[in-house]
Amino acid sequence: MRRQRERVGFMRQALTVAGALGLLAGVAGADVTTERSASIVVFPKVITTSTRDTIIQITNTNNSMVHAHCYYINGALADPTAPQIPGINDPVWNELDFDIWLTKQQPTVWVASSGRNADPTDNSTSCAESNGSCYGVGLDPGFVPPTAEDFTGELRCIEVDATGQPVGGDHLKGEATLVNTSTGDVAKYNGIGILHNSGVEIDTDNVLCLGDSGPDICPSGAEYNACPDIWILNHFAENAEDPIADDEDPEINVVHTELTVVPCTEDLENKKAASVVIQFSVTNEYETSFSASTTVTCWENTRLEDINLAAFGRASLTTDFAQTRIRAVGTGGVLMVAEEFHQVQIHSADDVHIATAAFNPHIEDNPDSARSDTITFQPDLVVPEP
Amino acid sequence: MRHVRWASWAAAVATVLVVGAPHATRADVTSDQAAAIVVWPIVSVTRDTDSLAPFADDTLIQLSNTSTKPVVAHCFYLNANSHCSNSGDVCQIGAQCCGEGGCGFCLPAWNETDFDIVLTARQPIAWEASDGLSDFCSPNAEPGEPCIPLDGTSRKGPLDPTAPSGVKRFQSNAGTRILPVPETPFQGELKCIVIDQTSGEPVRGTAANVLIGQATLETAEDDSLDVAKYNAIGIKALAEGNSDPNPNVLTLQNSPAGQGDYEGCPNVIILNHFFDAAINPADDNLQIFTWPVFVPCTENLLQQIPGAAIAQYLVFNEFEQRFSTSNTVQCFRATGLSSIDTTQPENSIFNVGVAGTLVGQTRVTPIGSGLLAVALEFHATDSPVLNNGNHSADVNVHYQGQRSAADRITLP
Repeated sequence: MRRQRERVGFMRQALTVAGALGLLAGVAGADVTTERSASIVVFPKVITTSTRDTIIQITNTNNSMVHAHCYYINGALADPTAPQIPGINDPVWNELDFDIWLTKQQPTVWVASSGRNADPTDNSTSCAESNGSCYGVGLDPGFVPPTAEDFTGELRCIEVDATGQPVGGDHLKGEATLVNTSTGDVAKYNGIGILHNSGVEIDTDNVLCLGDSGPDICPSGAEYNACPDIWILNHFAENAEDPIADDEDPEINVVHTELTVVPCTEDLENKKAASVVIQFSVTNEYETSFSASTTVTCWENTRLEDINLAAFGRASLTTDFAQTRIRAVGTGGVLMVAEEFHQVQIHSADDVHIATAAFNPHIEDNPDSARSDTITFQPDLVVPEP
Repeated sequence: MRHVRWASWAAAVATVLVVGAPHATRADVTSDQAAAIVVWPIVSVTRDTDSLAPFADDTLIQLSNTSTKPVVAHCFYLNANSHCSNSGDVCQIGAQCCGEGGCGFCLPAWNETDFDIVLTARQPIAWEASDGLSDFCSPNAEPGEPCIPLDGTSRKGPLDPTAPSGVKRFQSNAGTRILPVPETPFQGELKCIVIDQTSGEPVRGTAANVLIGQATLETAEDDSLDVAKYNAIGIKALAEGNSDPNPNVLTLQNSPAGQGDYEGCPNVIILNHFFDAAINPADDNLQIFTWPVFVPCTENLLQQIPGAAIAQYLVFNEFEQRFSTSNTVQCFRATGLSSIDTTQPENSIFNVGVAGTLVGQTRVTPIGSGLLAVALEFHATDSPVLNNGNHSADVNVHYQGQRSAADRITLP
């Protein structure tokens, strides 16, 4: 009897110590990823205008079926032709959500402007019969709705179970291809993945915790990794001359960089657009430093020169390349992608050509970072099982 | 006393439970964080030639130091050109070696040229692969002039925080000379490793994880402009490496089977792609072709022995149907997806007509050496060439897991 009590005590102590160590192991990392599968995948830049469209690719890297709850957020201004004026011409910040189901290792694709219908009559011979024009053939992930016209915003997909309850697992990866439908120009970036914090079970409230926002908001702790402390952007100075194209006119052959930024925090229940101040610390090739700042509300897509020409312009930087470190002020973080626009006149009598290249900026992990964000869903997201 | 013994046993078992549990994240190779080794798998210079289609005219290399201290990088161009046995011309296939005197062989080759770059705190630098950077900027240099920024005399950076106590030394790029690629046309790899300025030996430890880089592949000719960009792949130094007795042998391994100085190469490379010849669903005038570029993790630069790997491809289409194939990657491999398994692309498992859906997921498992990869995606009217109004986009691939076997880079 005494031996049995000791064994029980031993097991209790072992589990207690394991629990304590497990909690330590479960402390969320402060990084996101663009090269590993994750539980939340964010595409910050989705454009569907008259001249640009976006192809979304998402893949399940798991050997079992995976479900995801996805939503578009439209960051376009109510009147896209007019400047943003608070209270008069604000971003619409509409949300459009849908679910996708992906079978074992299944890839899927859709065009943002047209969405994807669920068609059970698909068969694999139609690709050969149509010489490769077989959009929509395959096991459809579900009905993917088209975006609104002139949509400029983001797409997020969150791994859930069959009832809609968010789960960890880190099984989703994705890419977005921005296509200029007039010129055929393409630019591609990887979706940004936010990893599940494997030491913490995701609770059933409708608040996802990216980092730990405290016991009142995040009773389970940090359910997902926190957003990055610092983003690092290697970029051309604004209006830098394109170095590879043969020079004909340095006033025409220029490079611009566009930055697309979304706050990590989103409140879809109350439709409250998060607002974050971000600071830029710019270092040119002569190691001279400049700085700038701006406010991002909901979704921001801007050229660097429109943030601050003095900090990012070639005339003030005096070099063609710079390294910019970007930090959000406060505890909330941001996610971002960058796109370069190269404008070149190849021969003096030619038209001016524009080609683009999108890329993922680098991140700097800070183990002491206090970043914490939340994604708050509508409460009816989870459908109880009968 | 008995209680104390139980407590220690409990702690031990608990530790085993926790250590044995799967870890949430691992720092594998990375294309979105700073690292001690940065690798650009594809650098191309093909100006005014058609012998290395579909590679870009020229490549702009960007490299940045993310730390607040100066850093020295030792860089290698690895020339993967093949040459004709009869003419010495650069070739891709034997048919390019046929002339009036008959045909020669297209012989693979692999050699390196190396140089140093000294970067000051937080400094970015960029150069065209065709030209490199040889001269320092003069005091009245114009923006955009290709030159090395800080010569240390007429142009200086801030004080060097790593200077010995009592010594006032300014940061500069003195010691930098960036070579152009050794021949044109050129296809190959660029690799930069953080080294100690005094000893010239690679720097071990996480303090070396300070470099980030990008490559911009650009073609501007025949009334056609195309730009594509990817992040250099970083290999992080470990906090406590188990150094090889030879300081010039870098061991890439971080697994229960052993620990080296740097993170190990990935176990699986995951590529999301369109099947070749798929019609672009957003622009039906264009077909899509994907060219993955692979380079081995193991390289013996001392004895000029390239790494070799068998790449096993596991392909899933949108019906969850599975195909597989394999090939050999020696030194450098950049071919279209549908040339991996056959010489008849229309019969390839990577061709859209055979695969039966628009997109696929391909999982590449290396055997032998580890592999690093990026993917080039061509949106073209009929074939993947870039000087015909066609366009391309580069993308970094995804990774899963870490190889248990070690890869080694042997420096000269």
